Amino acid sequence: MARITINFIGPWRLVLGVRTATAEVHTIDEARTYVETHYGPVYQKRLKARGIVKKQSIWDNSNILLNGRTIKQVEETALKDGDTLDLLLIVAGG
Amino acid sequence: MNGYWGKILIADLSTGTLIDEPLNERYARDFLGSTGLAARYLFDMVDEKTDPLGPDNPLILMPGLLNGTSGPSVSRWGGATKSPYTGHYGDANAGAFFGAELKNAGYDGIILKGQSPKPVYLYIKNGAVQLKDAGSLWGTDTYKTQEEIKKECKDKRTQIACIGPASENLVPCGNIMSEWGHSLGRAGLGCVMGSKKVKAIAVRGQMKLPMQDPERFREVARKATKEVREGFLSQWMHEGGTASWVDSAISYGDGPTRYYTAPTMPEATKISGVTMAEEYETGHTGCFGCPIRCRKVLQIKEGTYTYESVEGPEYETVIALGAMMGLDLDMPTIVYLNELCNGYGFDTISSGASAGYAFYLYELGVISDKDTGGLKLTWGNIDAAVELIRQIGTNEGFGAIVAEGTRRMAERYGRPIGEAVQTKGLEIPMHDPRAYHSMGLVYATAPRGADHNKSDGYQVDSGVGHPDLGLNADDRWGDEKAAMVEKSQNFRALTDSLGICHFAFIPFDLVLGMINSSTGWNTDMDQLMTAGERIFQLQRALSCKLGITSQDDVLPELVMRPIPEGGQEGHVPNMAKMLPEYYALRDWDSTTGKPSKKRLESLGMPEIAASIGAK
Repeated sequence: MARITINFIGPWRLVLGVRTATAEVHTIDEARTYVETHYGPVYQKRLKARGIVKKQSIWDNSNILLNGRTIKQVEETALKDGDTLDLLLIVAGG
Repeated sequence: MNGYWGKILIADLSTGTLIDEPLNERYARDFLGSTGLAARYLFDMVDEKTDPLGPDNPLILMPGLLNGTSGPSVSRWGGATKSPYTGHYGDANAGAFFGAELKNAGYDGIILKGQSPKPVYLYIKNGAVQLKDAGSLWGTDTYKTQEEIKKECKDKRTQIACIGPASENLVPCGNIMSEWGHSLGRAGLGCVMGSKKVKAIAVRGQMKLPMQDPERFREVARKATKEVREGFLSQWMHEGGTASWVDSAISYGDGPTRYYTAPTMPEATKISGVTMAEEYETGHTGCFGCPIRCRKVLQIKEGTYTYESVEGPEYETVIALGAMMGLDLDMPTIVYLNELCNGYGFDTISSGASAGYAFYLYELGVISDKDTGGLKLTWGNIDAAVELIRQIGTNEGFGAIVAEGTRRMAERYGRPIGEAVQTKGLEIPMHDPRAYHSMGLVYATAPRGADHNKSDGYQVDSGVGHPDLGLNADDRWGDEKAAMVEKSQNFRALTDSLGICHFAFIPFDLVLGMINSSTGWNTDMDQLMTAGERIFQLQRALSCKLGITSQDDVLPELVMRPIPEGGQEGHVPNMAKMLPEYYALRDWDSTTGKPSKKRLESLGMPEIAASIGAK
């Protein structure tokens, strides 16, 4: 089990009301489950408040950086203590 | 003629004559509106000899085809001219309310010709036009100008496009401004307006645009509004605004820092859209008929500069006036810098990038206090940056040199041209091509010079894709980008001409529904995408007519140097691979850069092919 830090970058920070979370997980796939379980309901509630009922995933709408480096959406990457995952929204504009 | 009024206003400022001219219906059908239609008119009016600041250079302003209707997020209007900044084709588009008001005032466009002997403003109300004296307004900033004209017109709903002191002083990157910081920026359209001594164009429109099937239009527009309101991108643009991209830009290495020589500085998060929302936001504003409302209203109670109510800066401005010069800014200062540019009325991207280049040259020892008038341009020197930006606005001191842009600065100081981060004379916006390789190709090939809005490159490769266009997210460092860039450039040429905002994803069947019920056409998406390609190739042909060749489709050497640290992870775009593939798709000549005769003719433009001597 690795103790990792998850950073919610940009508008995720606004919507989920959290900048950083700590999780104890083995793999990237488990980190995904952690994020959806703990913060998915907050996201759905926010969407509902804007009149959007369709369920949406935080993870699927994010690009993921592991220790600042881009990763592909591999499912079973092992994590180690001190690793950092950054979740960046997939949309861009400006 | 439904969907249009069938007339444009020709204002000859030398003689003071105002004439309504019938809209060329074939041009309207082929080039739609805004920058597309404006470019078509411009093509016949300028050549290599035209002095951008002379009376023969027209300034053409046109609403998007859907402006002023009940369609959602269709407020973008545009203009074209021969750019005094780059010396060739220049265009720009903006949101807010001016385009909608102009359309509802009974015009499909305005062509300003000649030069007035004294400051004037044009006043259009429901099809009636007057030229008014603007002597008392000359010298006032863009906010005061709008306030005074509204008072004079006794109508707060009058919409105004105006210039500030920068364009009066012929700052080459002068903007046309409307509302609170909405700008026709980049290519110096404001400077051309200043050369004509036109301080403003004020419009008030309450006329009902003739439509083929207004009831059907309303029904489709209602559905489109729902789609935009619930769209994924819309949600995020409302929550964070464009400036919320700053935080992602830090992670991706997308925000140029210390003039493209360092990883994006993490301190920029202090002035991001997220920080604005968390600490300063009091509300949102939006453009005409837009359910997204992406712009932030801020209240700044403490700090060097305070504001009771002010609109927050956009992403491009936050990076250009901050990280580019290595400035660790607080919110009051970035807001002040943004307001300085908007009040004087000049481009934040080019001025920030040019100021960044000045800092770079100072740090290298190429220029010194002697050149800068005592400004110590060391990375992070906020006071020097504030003064330099002010001097650009007044076109005085060292600021007058920086206002000329990076290409002319490189020439002046005997530096390699590849050190000036621009293409075709226009500075690269704040999406570093080393973070998204597609942007290298976008910048190298955009008709007016480096332009982040002439494609969907970084948006697609950020992961959101564009399913209706068949464009899916790809590796941001891949170099198989030619087809995606070509297609999205055509698409953006189309949506710009229709007046649709980049942040509004309207399903294609609803876009078609709005166009067909408004105009009575029976067009389809294939025809519209062909129109997008036609517009892009026309703009390219116009660039070539004004002197651009394949030699100008180059990404500057400075942004081909890898930065291993930070979010770029040492990647650089493979231009040697992407450019020839792109040329083949576009059917451009590898030497002259001109679109082929065959391609132009297949797009219905034999006269354009003949004019540029296409083979």
